[in-house]
Amino acid sequence: MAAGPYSAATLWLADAENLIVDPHDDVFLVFHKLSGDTHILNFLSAGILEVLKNKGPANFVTIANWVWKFLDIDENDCPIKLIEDTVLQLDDVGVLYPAQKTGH
Amino acid sequence: MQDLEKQSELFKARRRQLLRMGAAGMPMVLTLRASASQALISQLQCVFVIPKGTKILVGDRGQAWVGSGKLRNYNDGLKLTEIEDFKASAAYHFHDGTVSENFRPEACGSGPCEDNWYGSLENADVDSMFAHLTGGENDYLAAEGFSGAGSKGKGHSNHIHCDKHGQQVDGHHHVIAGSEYTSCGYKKYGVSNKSVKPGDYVSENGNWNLSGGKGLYIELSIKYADSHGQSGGWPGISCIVSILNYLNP
Repeated sequence: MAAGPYSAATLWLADAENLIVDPHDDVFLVFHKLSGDTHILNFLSAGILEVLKNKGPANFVTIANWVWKFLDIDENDCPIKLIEDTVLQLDDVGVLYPAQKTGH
Repeated sequence: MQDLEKQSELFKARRRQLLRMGAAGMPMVLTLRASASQALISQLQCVFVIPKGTKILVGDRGQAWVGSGKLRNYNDGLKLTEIEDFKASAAYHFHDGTVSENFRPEACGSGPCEDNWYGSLENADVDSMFAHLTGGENDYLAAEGFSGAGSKGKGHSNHIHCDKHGQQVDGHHHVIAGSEYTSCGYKKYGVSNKSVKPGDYVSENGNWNLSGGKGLYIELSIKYADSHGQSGGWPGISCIVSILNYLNP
């Protein structure tokens, strides 16, 4: 589930300025200043957050390419559907958000 | 050296295992709430961010326009030409009576221009109203409201246009006497890039307590949901609908 409407073309952004990330090996504690919630991320969800923080808005396909390279994995290990689902989970808790209207 | 390679392979194997579990549906994000004693109502926890540049213009009759056009607060209030352009380019239009009283600006005072001090703006809006009715999915203009505005539009050349001081202006908003600005009749709310957690605006007894620009955005979201449910491109609508479903099961 996402917090709002989206499509394959939706560009996603990380709410970087409101996040405090504390890495512990392959587990990442992420405190979201706006909600006061702490999220436990694994290497994939943290990796998605990291590439979007560093490289700015991107759609699912671009995020997937960035993440595969960043984490040194490929589509066989991590299908794009899993990346999409993880982006939506991150959106649902408010640490990512769509950067533009999608024309629905 | 061999140990390092072995560790590396083990590390990758663990990651692959985790990814397989993710593909099978295991959440990739877990959330710890601030208070373990507080009952967690997941529907109330959703958060969304209003797109950058978004502004809301509210009229004194409770009408509203939502868009990203230029609309600034000047020392003398809002600029009439910017109001007109903003209305024409707005992505969403809500008809009279939509916005509750507490968000509405004061109406302009009485005088010779009492009934149509903003007549020039209303007339200028006629084309966009037609456009909305003939194809736009985002228009909330009531049919009866449109009829009234349309009849004004037909009299464009004979219309008396007035500024906030009740002074007559011409059809292109050049001020004959008075100001090109208004500090009444319309009010701008800036909500650009604001993070909204609608659950924060729900009281313990399940009523909405809406205030400020974000409160207004939520109010318009609720009106949008009444008409369109989750369809359309209104940012944050699925979050609002999930809360409405929780409040009104």
